[in-house]
Amino acid sequence: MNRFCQAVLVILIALGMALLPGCYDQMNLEDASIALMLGLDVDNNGQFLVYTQSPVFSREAKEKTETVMVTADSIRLSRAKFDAVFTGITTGGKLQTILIGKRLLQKKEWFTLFDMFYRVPKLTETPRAVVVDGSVKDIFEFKPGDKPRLSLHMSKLIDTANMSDITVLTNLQELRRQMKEKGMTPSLSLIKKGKDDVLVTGTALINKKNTFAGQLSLQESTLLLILQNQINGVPSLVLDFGPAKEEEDGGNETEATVKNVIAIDITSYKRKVHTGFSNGKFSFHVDLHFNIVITTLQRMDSMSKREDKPAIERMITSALTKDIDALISKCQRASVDPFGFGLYARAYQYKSWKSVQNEWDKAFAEAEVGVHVKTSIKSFGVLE
Amino acid sequence: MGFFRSILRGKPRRHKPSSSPPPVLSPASGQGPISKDLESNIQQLQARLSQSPDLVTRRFPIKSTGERAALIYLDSLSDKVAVNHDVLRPLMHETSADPQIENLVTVGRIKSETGLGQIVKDILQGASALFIANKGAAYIIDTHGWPQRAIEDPQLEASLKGAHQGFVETSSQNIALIRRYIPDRELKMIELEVGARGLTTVSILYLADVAKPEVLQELVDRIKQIDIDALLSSGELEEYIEDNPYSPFPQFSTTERPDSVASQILQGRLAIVVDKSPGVLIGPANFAMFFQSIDDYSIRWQVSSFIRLLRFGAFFLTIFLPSFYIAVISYNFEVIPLKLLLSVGESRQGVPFPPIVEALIMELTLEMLKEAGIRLPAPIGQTVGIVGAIVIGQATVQAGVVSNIMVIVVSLTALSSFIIPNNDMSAAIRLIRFPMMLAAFVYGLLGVGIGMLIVLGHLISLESLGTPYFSPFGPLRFADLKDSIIRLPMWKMVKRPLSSGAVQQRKHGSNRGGNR
Repeated sequence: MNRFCQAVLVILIALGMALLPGCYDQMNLEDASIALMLGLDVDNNGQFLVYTQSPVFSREAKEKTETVMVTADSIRLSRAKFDAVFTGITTGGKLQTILIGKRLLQKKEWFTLFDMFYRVPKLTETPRAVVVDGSVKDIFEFKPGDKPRLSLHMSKLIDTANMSDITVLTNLQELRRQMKEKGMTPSLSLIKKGKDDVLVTGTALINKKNTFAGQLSLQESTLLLILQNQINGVPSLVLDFGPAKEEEDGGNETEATVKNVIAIDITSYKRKVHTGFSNGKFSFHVDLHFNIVITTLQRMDSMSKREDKPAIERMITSALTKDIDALISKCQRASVDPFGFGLYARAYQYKSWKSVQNEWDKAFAEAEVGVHVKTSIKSFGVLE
Repeated sequence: MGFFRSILRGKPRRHKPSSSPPPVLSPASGQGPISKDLESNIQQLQARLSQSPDLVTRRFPIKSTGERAALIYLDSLSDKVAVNHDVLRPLMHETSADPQIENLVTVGRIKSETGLGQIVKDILQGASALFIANKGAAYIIDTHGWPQRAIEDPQLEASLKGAHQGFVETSSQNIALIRRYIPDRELKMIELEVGARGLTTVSILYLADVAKPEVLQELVDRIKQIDIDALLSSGELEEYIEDNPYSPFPQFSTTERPDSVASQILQGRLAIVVDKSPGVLIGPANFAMFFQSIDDYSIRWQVSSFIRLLRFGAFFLTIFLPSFYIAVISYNFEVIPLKLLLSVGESRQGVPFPPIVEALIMELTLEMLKEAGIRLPAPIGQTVGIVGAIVIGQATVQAGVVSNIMVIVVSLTALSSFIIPNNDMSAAIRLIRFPMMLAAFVYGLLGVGIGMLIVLGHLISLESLGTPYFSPFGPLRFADLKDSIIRLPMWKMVKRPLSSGAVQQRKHGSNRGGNR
């Protein structure tokens, strides 16, 4: 019996000691204010602004999300101010989207604001980094009636836009890689507040000085994804073959509403980059081989026969070459390399790369990039 | 610290060999041979069995020899037909050229006994004692006949395709049921008597050429060392002979199905039949045994493997689901997918208790409902279901006492604990989940992980009759895995499991080209 009492005593002491260090990091779900969307912007006076939005779990509350804007010197500092306003303790573990104002991107060293995300293990690396063309405030104040919670809508919007290949998807982890990588420059999704909605407008490009360097349209974004080899599923492209002229009843020629357009789906493609260096210049030759399906031949009824296949292929090839060449020279003019050609330069021309690795943006601007497109039409659709 | 060590390390309980057991008052005490005088014998016996109105003393002359005789038996424990027709009638009415009593009485079991203590003991177990004047010995005639139940479908272990005979409370009947499955001369039996007052017969059945002799010897030694008043059920016996008395896990498998017992004996295990108890113990047990059901072997092996996987999944779900819920809600909610997190948050809004209290309320309610359902008579038992459905299912959520998600967690836990075929194992894991919940509350997912390691460590260290309990997982025995979390076809299992310690490994030939 004595042994038994002793054992019980030991167990009680052990339990007590086990309980002592426990519970210190306990945080119940209902005590937390889970920030789902974070906005970073600069106001007219150059003051750093932080916005956050988190869901509210309460039957009594009318609004299901709460939004707060504070001015702060760092994201971490803003948390104390958030805690002063929010019901719960602000946590960033479930952050979905980080909206970055275009104005902030013009400030130097903006990326150091993100340092905390890579340092604190409880924070997540997966929120999507998105550039806002305009004021971040407009988006946070946006309360759409026909959409789910704005923060969920935003993340879904970016994801699906990336799935249909009209913009890049760069999360914080990827952003850091692109920022630190010498051989490429970052590209981020770009959104804009429309009148009654938020829309994806393409891709924002950031140069080596870490400032905003330009933007790509939706179709250019698709081509960028093709060159990056980051395509999801089957991308669609619409090729415009100039305005069609139309004779009205009166005999005047006006621009037709229905244009000369070929729409294609790229079912699969092959990309091969040949890297060279001559005369102090890098040269890249990109072979692209597209297998495509025609989805629309607008105003081109005369060409819908099988015998016209080589002609249509030629048309598409030249249109695609022109578009891709335009995209590349646009980037070269802006001294950005979102494609990552620098990675090829490092891999295949290391000696030459080594000398220019810290000024890759300049080297790329001078580089010679040639695109050789080959298309083969696999189907004209189910018409025939 | 022996208590701790034995909990953590599963140290087998050592029975101290009791050199001289203290004398216990029993009917057998006060030995002595009977005298030649009939009347004095009757008086002595009646004095021993005083205050027993059901004691019948029938005096009569034996017709063949003319000797005076007396038949003494307990009316309540005897088969009256046998006494009247097979003992009294031939003795009183028939004349025979051979005056031997053994030839007159038409009963199979008959022996001569001189010790008064033993005679009293036999009478108390339903025998009739025949005293004859001027003879120093009495005849003990086996005329027992006590109230017993008919053989029925085993209620606790229902089976779809298995046999529909279950064990009853008479060990001779139970042994008969087992012998029907294994009519082999190697099926041997060791009979032991346990309990100074209860005198319960404990029979160990085994295949002499298959079962490991060391394991058998260990079991016999442990049963022999039991020094108790009376043994009322096989569950009590289990507590006296198991290796680690502090473990929540059952170390013998209890079954009331003769086909299960036969299958285990054929694998080289030992069956312990306890008289007056319908549960037969099987040892050495291992962890995987408690997830097997006899039906597994009569359905398609793919289906059976799927069900096995389901059961092992349910084992983890029962132990870890409530604790995982608590840990995640109160520490690590980052691991929940966002959509789920939002619905959990919405469901938990307005719940006035922290997750641990919420979970304890619901899990304890579940245990109460289960216990109430078992003990209540069947007509009232149905009410429990209704109360449970309304209380757990609806009212608590509508009143905002617990969240919807918690109700799902509790129902899943209950469901998964009920698909474990063995009731002892199911009860054990349901008990373990409470400390797990506390660990989760104190340390979050870290606590759940530590708890998991403690349970695992305990299982690995546990032994049953000196053989490893967690076999075939630890020690890992690949051959035995054929019949563990999955079940391969019978013809693939050519050998007996290593965990039973069978000395004869080969079970059958290579049917259908099974290996070796």
